[in-house]
Formats: sequence, structure tokens, C-alpha cells
Amino acid sequence: MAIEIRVSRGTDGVTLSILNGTSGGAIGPEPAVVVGPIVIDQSGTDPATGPANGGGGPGTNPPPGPGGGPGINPPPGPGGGGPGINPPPGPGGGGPGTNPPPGPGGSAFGSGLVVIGPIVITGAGGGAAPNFIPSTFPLKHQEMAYWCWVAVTEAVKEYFSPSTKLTQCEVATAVLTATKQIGANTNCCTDSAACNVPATLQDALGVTHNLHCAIRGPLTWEDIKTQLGGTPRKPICVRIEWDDHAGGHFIAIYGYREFTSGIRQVLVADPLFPEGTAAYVLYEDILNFYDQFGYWSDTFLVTP
Amino acid sequence: MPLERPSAPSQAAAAFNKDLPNFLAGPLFPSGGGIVSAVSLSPQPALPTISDLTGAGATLDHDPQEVFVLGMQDIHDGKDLSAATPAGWRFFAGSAPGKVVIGYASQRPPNGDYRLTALTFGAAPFLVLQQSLALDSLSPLQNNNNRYSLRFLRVPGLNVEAFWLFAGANAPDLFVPSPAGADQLQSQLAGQQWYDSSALLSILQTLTADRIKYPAPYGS
Repeated sequence: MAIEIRVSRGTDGVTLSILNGTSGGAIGPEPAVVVGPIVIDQSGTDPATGPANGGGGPGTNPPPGPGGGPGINPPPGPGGGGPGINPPPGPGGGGPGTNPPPGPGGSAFGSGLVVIGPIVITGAGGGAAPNFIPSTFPLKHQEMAYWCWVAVTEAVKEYFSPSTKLTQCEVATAVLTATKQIGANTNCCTDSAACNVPATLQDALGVTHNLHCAIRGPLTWEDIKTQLGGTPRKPICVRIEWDDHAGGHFIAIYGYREFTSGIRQVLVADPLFPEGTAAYVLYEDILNFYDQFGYWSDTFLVTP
Repeated sequence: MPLERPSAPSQAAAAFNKDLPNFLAGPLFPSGGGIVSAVSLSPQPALPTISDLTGAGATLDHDPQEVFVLGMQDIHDGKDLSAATPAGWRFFAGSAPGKVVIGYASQRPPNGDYRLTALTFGAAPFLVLQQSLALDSLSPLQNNNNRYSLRFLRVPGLNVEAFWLFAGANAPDLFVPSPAGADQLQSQLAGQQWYDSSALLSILQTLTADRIKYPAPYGS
């Protein structure tokens, strides 16, 4: 893929834009690309009124995110460890990083030379592996009364890693052990009653290395479309808080429809549904009237 | 005595009928226009069409049930089942397996008019409809002069739902957990087909005492 780098200088400084050289649009999901350093010779032009101490580039340099994690490994107990759920490490890529410090040779504007880089470009979709092909979103009915978080986590893991077949009890064991809600020797597959407890989806998705970030509140309609329609397409995990502030529930949004009339619907997978059941809910009502009693309190964005 | 199945307010039924096509498979969306964009990460259960739901001359909406919601906090505060608040109506449409939907019509802002807020489709609605229709054969209703009127109770914080056979002042109300039997997630509600008010409340109080220890950001 050709990459076009545009450098423009305005009254507020130098702007660096990195574009798809073919389409002129945003960078798509490609393996990491290193560009630079780029040297801009300003000799013979008016000095810029940039920062006196200079610095490096304007910081469009997310470093590669962490590679695929080591899988779900419950800490070893005294007897030598739990069942050890080890999905294979991801093939690399990862979430967006943060801006690194200025590149080497950064110099003050007005010295005649501006050095930018090196620039490391990761995929705009958050670092999906080049050969990632999302499977269908396989949310199943929660197997225990308080296991909505288990069912959602299991579905997200299987969506991004179709070859990883985890049972709900395996997910529960790993998460509850990691959060110390159960003892290290407790196995939810043989003692499910001890494991029938609520948990946080932030913890659960963190254990499976599928949590990109947790956001307080709902997503806008445009953000929903971006998550579901982006590359890769990602389900949206939602916490519903019940109106009496006593209890919450986790569901997933895995589709949407938008009509010319302005009607907007989200496609909901609720782990309380039996298998083979789904719901379309008006976007306006999933915000504060889900199941006649709940509001969208938190969002969990996920990553492969 | 047969189970009384109340009619929904005409505005609720009208909203269901008017808005339902916009939740179905199309291609006709009378008030929705056309679809601008649609995405699904997964093959979804088949959405019926209007003709699927009205085959053999069936009316579009049937078996309306008023939905009542009881908050876990109310149970924790010592309130009884009379604290459940009405939250709208649910309607069934269709009658064949895989071709039944449940729509929820409630009064919503900005002007309090009824609108269809959600539609459940796929495998479950047919099963729920079957359970609802079978309520007439419930043993307490046989050879009994008590009058029962059908409602639907939800206790979201506990993941409990039940058909509510409301008797008023004449007799204890009866509750039939949904789903029933082995499909019921709360084991305390899986052992019997029905519970009276005091038995259900006792179970809900026990469940609440346990569940309420997990505030936000926990979920169940």
C-alpha cells in the first residue's frame, strides 16, 4: 500500500498527515510500517514561530500495541495449578498506543531543518492481525443465574479467536480466580454453585485480553456504527443498570439498522435469551429504557 | 374459572400495530422508509414478515399482557409485591414456531404516547406463548371460583420473570416462573410450577439479600 505523507505549515505550526497513498483516505489495517526519519529543510523561508525548545513530530506515532497475550492462566494453586486455559497468543498487532516522545533530532522551528520520525504506523482499526477473520458472534444463553458476564466474555473471545473454544465454566474459573472471588482450588466446572456470582465485565474481558477500554455511559449512534462497521467489526459490550440502582446486567450489541425516516435500531444479544433469540431495540430506548427498567451505564470496547 | 386476559389500552395496541412493520424483515416499512444502512456481525434469527405473522387470517396482535417491574431495592427495603409498577404492555404476533414475536409498547417521552420500543424474535417467543396459553390448565384454576387476571412480572436485578395471576383481595396471587423447570436459572424457582405471593416473596427476599451485595459495576 502506498503511503502519502503530507506536511503543511500554518500559523499554528506544522501539521503532518499520513494518508493512504492510493485512496487518499485514512490508513487501513495493515501490518506496522516504519517511515522516516523525515527531514524538512526550511532554509530560505521565514522562521516558524514554533515552540522555542522544539521537539519532534506532532505525535502521530502510535507504537505497536502489545501482541497477543499469554492466554487465560489461573494462578497456580498449592497443588500445582488450575486447568490452564491457554489460547494461542495473537499474531501481533494490538491496541493503539500512546504518542512516543519526539523522534531523534527534533529541532526548534526556525532552525532551517525539521526532523520528524521515525514514524511507526499501525492499523487504524486498532492493530488487527493481518489474517484476522471475525467469526459470527456466538453469544449463548448464560448457564447460571448470575453469569451474564461469563456468557458475554466467552462470546467475545470466541468471536475474535474462533479456534479457542472455552466453556462458560472455564471462563468463570479463570476470572473469579484472578479476581479472588473464589479460592485458587475452586473449579467452576465441578462446583458451579460456588461460582454463581456477579462480576465486572472489565475484569472478565481483561483476563481474556479482549478489553480495549471501558467507558462510562453509552455510545453515540455514530460511534456504534463505527464499532460495528469498522475493520475489524467489533461487538459492543454494554452494562445495563437497573433503575433502582440495585443490580446490573451485561448484554452485547452486534448489529444495527438505520432507516430513511430516522428510526434507529440496535440488534441486541442478551445472555438471558434462550439460544436462537435476539431483539431489535430502538436506540433511544436502549439508552434509558432497556427492558422497561434499565439504562445504559457503561460501555466496554473490545479488541482481538 | 378461566383465566381473565385483559385487553390492552387501545393506544398501546395501535402503537404496536403501527410500529411493528418497522421491526420486521421488510421490505415494507410503512413509516420507516427504506433502510439506509444495516450491519450484523452474525446471522441473526430469521425475522418474520408481516405475512408470516398474519397467516391464516390471524390478527396481528394478540395475548397482550401488562408488564410490571419490581425493583430489587424495593424488596430489600421490605416492600411486598404490590410495589411492582406497571411498565407498559407486551404483545404477541404470529403463532408458528420461529414465527412469533413479542413486542413491548410503553408510554415514552416526549409526550407520553405509546410506542413500540423493542421486539424479541427467534426461538423464544413461541415457547413463551405456549407457556402463556397453557396457564388455563393450571391446577389452582380448576374447580375454583376465584377469578384471576393475567399480568407479567419482571424482577430485573434477579433475572426473574413470572406470569402473574392476579386475584385481587379474594385470594393469594399466583406466580408461574418463566421459563419453567429445567430452563429456569434460579434454582429456587425451578421446583414448582407455581408459587403463591408469600412463597415467591420469600424466595425473592433471599435472592435479594445475596445479590444486593454486588453494586455497580458488577453485573449478573
